[in-house]
Amino acid sequence: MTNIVQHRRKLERSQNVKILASVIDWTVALYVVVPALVIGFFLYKDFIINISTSWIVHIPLVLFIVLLFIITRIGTIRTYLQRADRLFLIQNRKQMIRLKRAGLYWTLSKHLILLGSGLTLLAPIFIIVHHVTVLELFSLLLLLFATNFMKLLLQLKLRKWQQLVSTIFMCILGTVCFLYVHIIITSLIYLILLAYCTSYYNKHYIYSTKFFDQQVELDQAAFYKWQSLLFQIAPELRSQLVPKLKKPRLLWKNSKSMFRRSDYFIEELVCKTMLRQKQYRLGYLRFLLSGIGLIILVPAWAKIIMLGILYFTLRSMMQSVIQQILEHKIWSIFQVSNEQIHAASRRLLKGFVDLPLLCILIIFIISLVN
Amino acid sequence: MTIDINIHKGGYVEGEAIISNIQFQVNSGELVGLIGSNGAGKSTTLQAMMGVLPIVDGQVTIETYGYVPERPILYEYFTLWEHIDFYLRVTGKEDSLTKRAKDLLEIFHLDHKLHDYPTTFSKGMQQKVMLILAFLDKHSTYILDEPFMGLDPQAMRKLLTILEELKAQGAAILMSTHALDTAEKICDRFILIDHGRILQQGTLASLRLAVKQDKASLLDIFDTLLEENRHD
Repeated sequence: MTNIVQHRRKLERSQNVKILASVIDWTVALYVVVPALVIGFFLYKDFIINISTSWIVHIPLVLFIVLLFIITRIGTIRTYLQRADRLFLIQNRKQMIRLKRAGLYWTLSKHLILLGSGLTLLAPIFIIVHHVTVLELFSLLLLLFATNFMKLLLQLKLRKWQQLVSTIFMCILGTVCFLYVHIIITSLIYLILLAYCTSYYNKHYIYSTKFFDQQVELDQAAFYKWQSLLFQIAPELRSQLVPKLKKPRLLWKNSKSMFRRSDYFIEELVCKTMLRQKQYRLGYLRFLLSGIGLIILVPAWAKIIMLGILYFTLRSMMQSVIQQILEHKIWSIFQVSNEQIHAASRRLLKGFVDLPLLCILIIFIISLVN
Repeated sequence: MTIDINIHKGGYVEGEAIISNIQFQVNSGELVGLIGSNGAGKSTTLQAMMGVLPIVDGQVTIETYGYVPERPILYEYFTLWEHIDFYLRVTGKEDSLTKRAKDLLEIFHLDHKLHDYPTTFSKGMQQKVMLILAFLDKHSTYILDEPFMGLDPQAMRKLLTILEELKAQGAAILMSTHALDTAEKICDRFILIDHGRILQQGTLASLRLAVKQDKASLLDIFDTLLEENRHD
């Protein structure tokens, strides 16, 4: 059984490495990733040394705690299940249980390590600025860990609006417990919660096969997470990207043209895809907004480097999106010429990359002049 | 002549021919049925004709064509009207073809689904979208790969009417199908294919003559030819 877990994890790892290698070659690693890591280290070091005079001292502790409860999440409890397991593995209950349990332990350990690393990086803020003890930090780790596990179980059970309400409630509860309840009582409550969540998951998701399809779907999404993020999704995954809605929900929902010019049909297809395909839309916005955020945060000398990095990453991301759209089978029905494709790609890159970056550059120059 | 095919060998991998010695013509105003079992090489032949088969040794002469694929090919993030509109804009005939598009939508009862994603449609409705896209513009040639798949009887009748109209207008139509009883009624000629080779081709009368059965149906003829081919 361990072999199946190992085999499936190895498969996933090798796939992720291939994807990463297709996006980040050694030149990108040398000129972008390594400098970013070095710059990041020195920025962090400077930040810690000057922490008592930094702007961060003005942010109240409660805000940090609330933010941590909001932004940290487990994602998916891995099961390493595949669709074909319905035919074979589902009949071997013991093996199936061991596979799912291995997935649970892996997910929880990974999340604990990530949370621990995050809190370690933030520790100077908590300890130096807000005088939080190390023991309290451990208690915060337990609170976040148990809350995230609970949130994940609620996600599997509740509707969207119920999830939102429960997330807000869990966030408030965690913050209040951490700030106002004695550390031992808080830790005990959350240990009980953690034990309850584990036993609940065991009973309903590990020992039961009632949610097999849901678990496969979630695990497949986690398996292809990096592909989705880097827009290198395998063709067989396309079916999973089919919108669940019957019709567009927002903007141009009555099939109206986006552009006045009728020869901008490829641009229209790409723009509407960006608008309607959640992963493309969020991926682009995430890149752009996190880039802008970093440009605001880093010192003036690093802003230009960040701007350059943002330009190249956003450009390669958009090129990869356009390429993926152009690989769709629909082009055997819509027969367009290579010239039309090249012209459209150029215009799209101008609109999605050059224009926003130019705006950021202008704002940056204006802020420097002022 | 609108379609002239002379393929010595064709396949997906070098040295592994899926089809061989495929020779036939489809003339203007003619509807020809490409008949064969599953995996006989019908779709491979059509792919070779359209120039999308990786390895083809031979000659293919074909003019611009309307195409209905074996399985509906739709874009997940375009509504039904956006599919049609895109096609119209690519061809640059928006003004002249919009009326035709609306007529076809009405004929296939899809005019109330214009702003829905066709990927959420039933199989039959998706097939209707493919038919609309194929018949929007006038072509001299049509390649139809299993056009009856998933269609309801009403839509089938409408498709037959459209095929008759296109024939009358002089189009050359090559249709791959398993619906042998329908094919028998509407096709002018048949090409029977098995294991990537043409077993026999001709009109129903000439095929009956070939198997020496006066009143044999297309299915009977096909069965007999397959049996003979297996014994050989």
